[in-house]
Amino acid sequence: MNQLHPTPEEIVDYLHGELSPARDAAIHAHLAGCADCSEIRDSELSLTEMLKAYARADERELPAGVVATIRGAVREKRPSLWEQLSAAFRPAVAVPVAIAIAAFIYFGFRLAHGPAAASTIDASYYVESHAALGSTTPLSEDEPIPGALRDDDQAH
Amino acid sequence: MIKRIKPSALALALAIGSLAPAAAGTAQTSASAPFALLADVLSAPSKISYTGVVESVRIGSHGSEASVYRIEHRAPEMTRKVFSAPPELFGDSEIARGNLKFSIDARHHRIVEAKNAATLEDRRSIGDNEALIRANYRPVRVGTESFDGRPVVDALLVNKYTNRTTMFVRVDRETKIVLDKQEFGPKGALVSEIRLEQVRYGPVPANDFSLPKGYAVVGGPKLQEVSSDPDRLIHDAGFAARKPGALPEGFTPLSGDVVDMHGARTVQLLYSDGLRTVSLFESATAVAPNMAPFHPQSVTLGGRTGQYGEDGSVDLLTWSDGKLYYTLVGELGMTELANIAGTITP
Repeated sequence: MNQLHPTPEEIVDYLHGELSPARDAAIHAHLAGCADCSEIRDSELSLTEMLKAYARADERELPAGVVATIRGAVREKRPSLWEQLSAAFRPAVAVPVAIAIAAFIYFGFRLAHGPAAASTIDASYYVESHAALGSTTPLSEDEPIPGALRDDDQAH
Repeated sequence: MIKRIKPSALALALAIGSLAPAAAGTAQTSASAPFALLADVLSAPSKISYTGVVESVRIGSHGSEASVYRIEHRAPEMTRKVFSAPPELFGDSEIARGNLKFSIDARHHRIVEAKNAATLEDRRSIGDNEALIRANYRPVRVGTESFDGRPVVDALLVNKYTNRTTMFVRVDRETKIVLDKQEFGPKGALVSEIRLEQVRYGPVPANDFSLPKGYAVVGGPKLQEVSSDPDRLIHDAGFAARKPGALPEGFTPLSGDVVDMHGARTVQLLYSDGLRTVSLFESATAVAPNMAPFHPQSVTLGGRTGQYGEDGSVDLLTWSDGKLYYTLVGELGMTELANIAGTITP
């Protein structure tokens, strides 16, 4: 009898009859005398039965490959902290996060310090419009140089 | 060379005129005489035709402008100006017919047509304007002299509330046409002068005011109707426009308009005390005047930061409450503009 514990993958393969006859026999013998591995086998067995029952309820059988993939995902070890951080800085995640932070800073500053800077236009527009409307007051005079007659390169 | 009167000289003249009008050569001594002169001055252009040469200068803190043009005025309401200086205006002209103005650009063979709210020659306008000036200004005759060969009456218009001289005029004694006018800013400095010289009175042919042929006519920015009802303009603004809760003493709403400022729909409200004016521009679009040429300074307006700048005759104050963008433009100082702003966005 092999005294080494089989891996969970081997137990799953054992349950699905996918091992060589020699290995299948060795694990069968090991399970008979190992409570821990028997527990793993029972757990895997119940999962397999549950999936089969769900598939029956839907009147369809899950392909064996799907079950194996699900098991593989369940068995996959938990990623390390570094791996999680690395994943968080993938471009697909990092770019939207950076935009959100920038927007927060921008609008936060705006709320704290008043409105955003407006786009500026030549102040002479305001002065000339004021002068035009004010030209109806008595004793007012037009600007020395009328706005409509300024050179294009001088006007605004 | 344009001769200017210093404010200190004006004050001295005012004192002399007030204390000894007879010695100054004024024949009229009754209290109503200055007001009668004012009424004559305001109505004179609607009665008197003349020709002459005008020198106009506007003095700014960061630059000045001047022009020289020949003027032909046919009473009551047609005026033609033909520019001889500055060089870029040489040959250009302006023709005013009532409330229509045509700016004739000779170099580009183009006529820009614009429309004003009303003409100064309009009888109702004259009455309203005279009443406004009488309510807010004290005309003071300061003497008589000769100006460019014509006998003139010198007079000041002193603001009743600030006691500051706002304008000095030399009025032709015979026709009551203003031959020289000097305006003073909030700090007392001379900010503009316009002189009519080589004046000749008499008929001016109507055909002098015809437009040249073969020019493209384009609409100016002021072809829409202006309104004298600020409330209606605010209602029609398309956004929650505001009006001042209070104005400097003597100021009253005069007119308003909805103007296009580089694509931004902007309400413009004009207030005046008869001589000085201030415009309030409001827009829901984030636009503001470029204040850099005015060397602006930051001012605090009810917890908000605004920018103030001045250029001699005209002062600007611009700020925002986060919803609307406001700009005040007028012949008022920073304190008065800030006081108005405080009543718009407390």
